[in-house]
Amino acid sequence: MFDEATQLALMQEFFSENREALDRIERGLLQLESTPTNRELLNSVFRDMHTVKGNCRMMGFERLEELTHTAESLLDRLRDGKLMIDTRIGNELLGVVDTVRRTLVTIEQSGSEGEVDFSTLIQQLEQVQAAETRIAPSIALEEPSLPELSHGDSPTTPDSTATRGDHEGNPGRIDSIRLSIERLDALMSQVGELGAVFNQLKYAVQRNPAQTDQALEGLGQQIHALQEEVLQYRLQPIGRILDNYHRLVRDLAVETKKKVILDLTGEETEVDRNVLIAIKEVLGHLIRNAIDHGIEPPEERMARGKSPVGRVRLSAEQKQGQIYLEIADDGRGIDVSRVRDKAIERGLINLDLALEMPDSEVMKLIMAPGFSTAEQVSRISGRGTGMDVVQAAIDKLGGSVTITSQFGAGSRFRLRIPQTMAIVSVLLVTACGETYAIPQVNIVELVSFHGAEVADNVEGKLQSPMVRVRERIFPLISLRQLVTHPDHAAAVTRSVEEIRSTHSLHVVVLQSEERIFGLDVDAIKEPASLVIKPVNRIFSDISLLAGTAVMPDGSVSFLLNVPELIKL
Amino acid sequence: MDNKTVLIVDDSSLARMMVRKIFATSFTDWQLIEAKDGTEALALAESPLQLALLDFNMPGMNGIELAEKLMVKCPGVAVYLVTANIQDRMHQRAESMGIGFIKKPIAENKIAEVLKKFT
Repeated sequence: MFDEATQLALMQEFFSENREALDRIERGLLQLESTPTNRELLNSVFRDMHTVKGNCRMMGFERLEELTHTAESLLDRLRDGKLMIDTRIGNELLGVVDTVRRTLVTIEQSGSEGEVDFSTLIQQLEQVQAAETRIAPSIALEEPSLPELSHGDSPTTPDSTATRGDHEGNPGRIDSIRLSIERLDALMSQVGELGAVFNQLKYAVQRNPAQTDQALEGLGQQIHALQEEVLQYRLQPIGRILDNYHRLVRDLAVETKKKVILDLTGEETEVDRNVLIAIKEVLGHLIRNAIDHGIEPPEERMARGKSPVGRVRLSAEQKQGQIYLEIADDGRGIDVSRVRDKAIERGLINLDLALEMPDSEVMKLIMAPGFSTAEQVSRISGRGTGMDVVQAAIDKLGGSVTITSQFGAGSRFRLRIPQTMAIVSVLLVTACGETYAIPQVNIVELVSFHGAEVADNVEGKLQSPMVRVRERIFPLISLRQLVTHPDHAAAVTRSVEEIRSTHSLHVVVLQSEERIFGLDVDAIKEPASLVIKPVNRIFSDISLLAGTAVMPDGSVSFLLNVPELIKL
Repeated sequence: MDNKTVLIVDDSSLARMMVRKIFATSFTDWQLIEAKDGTEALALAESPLQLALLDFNMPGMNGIELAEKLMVKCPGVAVYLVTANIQDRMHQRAESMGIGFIKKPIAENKIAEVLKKFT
């Protein structure tokens, strides 16, 4: 391909660059023996080995390429933290450095690698690497955090030929989990204790009624501990599903001829696996929507002074038993006036209401059934079926969504979803003879006023009742009014005078996001842990209710959706 | 023929030399800019730039990070990653940005294939 002079120049560069790299590798390895966790140094040693490998391949020295490739893989494991450098590994790698140096001399003298055989050295390197893969599973078992996800129906076996990228490349299935024997044993011993406590109760009931209460309490505690344990097993890091979106983004970008970068944060956030399965589709849909409707084609972006590459950020975080998911893009944003027009045109709202509605509410209409602002119906995001599906799925999970958007600059969908759907700690209260459950995470404190105290601590502000708690004043909402007139914002409070004239007032002080308010209830009952089920279809458009639970006496109580209460 | 510019970024001096020699031998109408890492590349690159051939594994920013910045600085540049093997995730990330790939080891016929689009 090249003339002789060029070939010679290339070979000279090959020798000099490789020798410099090998010198640095050698120095680095010696230094690493005393500072094995120096990541920066490990990275630079890895890169130098990578360069040597690339150079050998470029000049067609296949045996050297194979040897340096194996050394590079080993360094990659060290870099990952899967393996710690020790004298043995250091010696193996230094051996590679010496061998490559010797072979370079041979090449310099004869022009070829000669009949060298590196197979023994390569085997040794692979053995050192395999030692690591044998260690890994037992570490995973001892890990107190999480059960591993299974990678298939059959148990995964350590594979010494596993190459770089395998850990990250296979996100695993989320419809099954693997438990370590230790955890299963722990579970068994808890069930065993449960049996013992049950026997105590049985004995108390039959022979010694005086001890029944104590035995009942013990049984309750044991069941609670068991619930907690099992719930822990159900939590999985959300990263397991987020990883799949790289592929989705790639496919959509290629199909739409757009340029997109997907940024993920909070992959370690833990979510109940049922929630995980449910939000997988939702997030996929929102990403699809962001790329299809949000991100502009590269030319359009450049004309607007933006980077040709659009950015979609997906972040997850957990706060007080809630998962917050955010999908933000730096695309064209939502045109609120167009949404307003369309909503009127589609008969979703009437003109008067449309003019009154704040922009934040108007934007929510894009989630209404049958709404689509896309001029052209695209194959990707469908024809207006989609965002309503997202809304329905979030509702079903007892969550909520907030949309913010700046026209021309991008949109952000913020989802709030309970971390687990299974069991919720609640406080039971009553209003109008019905029992309602309030999630404990939202409760700040409970206050009851009697007689003259009521009038002393309730006052009006712009005709809205306010309650005084510890020298602070909060809005006061009436649960009784809420449940009797759920649709009329004006009716959610009793009049100030009406409240002040009552004999007693029971207030549950609630917090949602940054806001604090008082909920006036008929009576405060006891705390409980309830198994929450989704709201029955008949009530599914009542956003105030997040779920239902069957009470010990067989009646049904409703779980209040606190973030929705505050919006009234 | 119009003068076209290609940016070569690779921390290996041999790799840069190889590409330089290929262009000097076979594609003489191209002007070359060489850089050993992302920072240097961004300092040297100026619009209009038609083509960028980037190594992935480099000190400082990697090839994909560099590509993103380069696309802003030199709009319209066609970016290729020159790699031997790359994680699926990184591959998908690059593809979603419209980045092409040239498989290592780099050779004249592979570059010729890419340059076809510029004639």
